[in-house]
Amino acid sequence: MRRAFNQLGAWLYRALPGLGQRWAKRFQVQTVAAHIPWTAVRGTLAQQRISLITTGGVHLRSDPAFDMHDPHGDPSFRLIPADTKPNDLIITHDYYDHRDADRDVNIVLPISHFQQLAAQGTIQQLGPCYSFMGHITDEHIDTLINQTAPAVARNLRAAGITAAVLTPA
Amino acid sequence: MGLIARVLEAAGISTVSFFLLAEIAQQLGVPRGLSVKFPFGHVLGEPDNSVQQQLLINHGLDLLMQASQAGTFVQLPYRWKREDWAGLAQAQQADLAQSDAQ
Repeated sequence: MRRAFNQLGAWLYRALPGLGQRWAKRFQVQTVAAHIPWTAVRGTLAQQRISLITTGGVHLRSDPAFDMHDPHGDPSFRLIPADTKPNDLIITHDYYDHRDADRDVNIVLPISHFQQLAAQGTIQQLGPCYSFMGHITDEHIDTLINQTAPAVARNLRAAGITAAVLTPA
Repeated sequence: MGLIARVLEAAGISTVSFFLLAEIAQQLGVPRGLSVKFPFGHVLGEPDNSVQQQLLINHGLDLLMQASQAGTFVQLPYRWKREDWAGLAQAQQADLAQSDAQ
């Protein structure tokens, strides 16, 4: 029942984009220090080993779905190998209307484009990609900041990744 | 998602993040960000519109390579389903070729 309600909400936001902007205005943004972390890019674009990160709830069909029953969201992540084909992916996410993304996952995770950029040599390599679910609130924000996002950062460093492109749902 | 970008950047990975809601991203403080005013679930545009998706990706990669300080944010002006994407892509290619030449 809750899922049906969330799915109805997702449809409404899609039908009336102004609602989303209004929702954003009352959204309590976590206050952070004025300091913004910075890692300068080294070398040219053709020397970058890039991974994609999405919060669109994308995952391999063979992987467990994200938890849609916890009202605070699911702070876990799923690995999406660089050579994954769009047909091997599926989206589990009740908080946005993903019918278009089901048809072409590239609008939330541009994996086909980056596979092509790597094949052309525009970038050096597409690395392992990761998906989160987004729509994470309350205590799960701590899990995200202190556990799951750092785990992805360690995996990317271990894979020699130099840069990441992030896309939301 | 801005939170994830901050964690990755702090760990030594350069990030560029797309957003649908510029206000949230700017309040949070992301290293390099760009926003589009598109519906949720469509941050890189319309399904099967490869030209449009590629144009937006090029903006992202350009920001990744060009930004020189933390908090650089670009609000892209594009209107949902009301742009000549092929024409824009051509103009972008010309711009990028010119900046490469300089």
